[in-house]
Amino acid sequence: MNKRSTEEEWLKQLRCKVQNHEEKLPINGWQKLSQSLSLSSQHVFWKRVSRIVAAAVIAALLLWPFAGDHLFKKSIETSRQNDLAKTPCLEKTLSTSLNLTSSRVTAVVEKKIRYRSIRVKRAVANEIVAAHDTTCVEKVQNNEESFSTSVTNKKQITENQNNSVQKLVIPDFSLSDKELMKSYNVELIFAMGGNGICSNISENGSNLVRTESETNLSDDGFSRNQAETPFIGQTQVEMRHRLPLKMGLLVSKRITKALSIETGLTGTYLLSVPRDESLGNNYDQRIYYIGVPLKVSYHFYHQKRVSAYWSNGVESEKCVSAKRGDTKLHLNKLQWSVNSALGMQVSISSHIGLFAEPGVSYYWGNGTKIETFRTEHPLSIELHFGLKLNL
Amino acid sequence: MVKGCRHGDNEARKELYMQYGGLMLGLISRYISDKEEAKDVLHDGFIRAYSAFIKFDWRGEGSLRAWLSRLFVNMALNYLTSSENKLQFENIDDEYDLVDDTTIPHENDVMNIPEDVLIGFIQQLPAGYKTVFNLYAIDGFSHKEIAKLLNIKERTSSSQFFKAKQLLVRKINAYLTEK
Repeated sequence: MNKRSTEEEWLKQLRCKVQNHEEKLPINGWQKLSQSLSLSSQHVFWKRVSRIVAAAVIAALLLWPFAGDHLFKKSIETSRQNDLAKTPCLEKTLSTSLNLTSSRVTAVVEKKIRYRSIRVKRAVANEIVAAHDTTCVEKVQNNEESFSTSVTNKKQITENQNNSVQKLVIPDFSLSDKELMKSYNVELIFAMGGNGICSNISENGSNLVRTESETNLSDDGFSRNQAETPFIGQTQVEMRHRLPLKMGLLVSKRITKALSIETGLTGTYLLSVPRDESLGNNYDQRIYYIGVPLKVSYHFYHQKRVSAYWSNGVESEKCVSAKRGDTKLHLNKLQWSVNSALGMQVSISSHIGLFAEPGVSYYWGNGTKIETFRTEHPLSIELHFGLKLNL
Repeated sequence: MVKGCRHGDNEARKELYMQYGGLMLGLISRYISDKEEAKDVLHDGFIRAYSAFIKFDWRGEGSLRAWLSRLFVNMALNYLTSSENKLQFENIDDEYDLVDDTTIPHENDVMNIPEDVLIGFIQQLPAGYKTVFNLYAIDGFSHKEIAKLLNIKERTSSSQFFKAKQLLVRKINAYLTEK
């Protein structure tokens, strides 16, 4: 028998003996496992909820340009009607005593609504008076009574004008539509992550429970990203994740009357520290991201200094630095997120405003086993606030 | 039991754990010498197995064991290739190192050696040799597959296996001589 076949035989024998080798299972092994499983089933439930919410946000983001314009037109009509209704005195005075046609009155009042600057409003008011004056002169020539009535009415109108002009003095810093479409907004933002809506970590805060996504396994149960999977820390070191901090510089531009698009650069800082403070800084985990957001905002309310809007967006972030103590961590995959927020802005001047945007964000996995606030709370509440400059 | 595990039935999961747990722990022990670490990997492995059960297709006798074995081998390799437990592969380029100077044991001799003694011999191998030996000789991977899994060259894999075999043969021969 040659050497090779002898070698193969002894290896075969070794394999047969060793392949079926069993070790004794740990005591309470099943109890610990079933506890972990019941926790992970809760996580799976919240993961599904967060995925549904994320899908709803994406659907809203895609469908809303079509719904937004329709709603905006309706709101214009409603506000136009409201404004017309707000000037009954003037309208009545014009139409009844001056015999101006209702269409003329409507045209004049609409003109008043369309031009929002103080100067133009005054011009419109003067036009109304001029129209009235012309009619009055004609009536005087025809009928003395109607002349006196018209004079009285003129006084009334003048009083009304004065009142309305006085009201118009209050500045509202709002821009005309043309100015709005031409302008750019530069925003300096600060953001903090809030309470997570769903959690992937057990109440014990242990990293032992790993709720790996099913997509990490290929069909035969093997993970194909071993080279990308860094070490996530000793299992006995429990980590506490601080709230993420974000800063950014964004630029927004109006694309229609109600819609604006926004993008820029953001920087995010994620810090995780051991629960056991005696371990010092050796296990502190610091991760820095640079991100590019893309948001579409729907401006549904504007009144003088205050405006409100609803924004939806996506963001792609790249890890620029990740360390645990002195050990470098590898986070090569892009971090994707979607967010939806309701924003409110208060204008301090015509060019400067303060804004706040409480909202909800969903973060997809970072493609590794590294645990952060975002992997622990993929769906969370965030608050963005800052300064807006209109250029 | 497979259907029950797919639907998240706890009784079915317990049955799976009891039926295959010992075997999988034995498999992990061949890769990871530390008993506590091996138990942790077993725990994590079953959690992953239950969550990935939806992907398992029953293909007859032995398919479940094969699927679980591959999954647990993967878990063991993930543990070993983590940065804290980085596998070291000796650079064996010198021809002298690859000379086979061992007497190959007879298969009957190997058959008479107790199972736990053989496992002990394998566990005593250096980590790199042990991993490649287990993957190639016991778990049936090719050198090409091993090279991909461990991010090494195919030649490194075959030379590591050769050295592992040499060391094992020496241990077996020493044991037999003692007996």
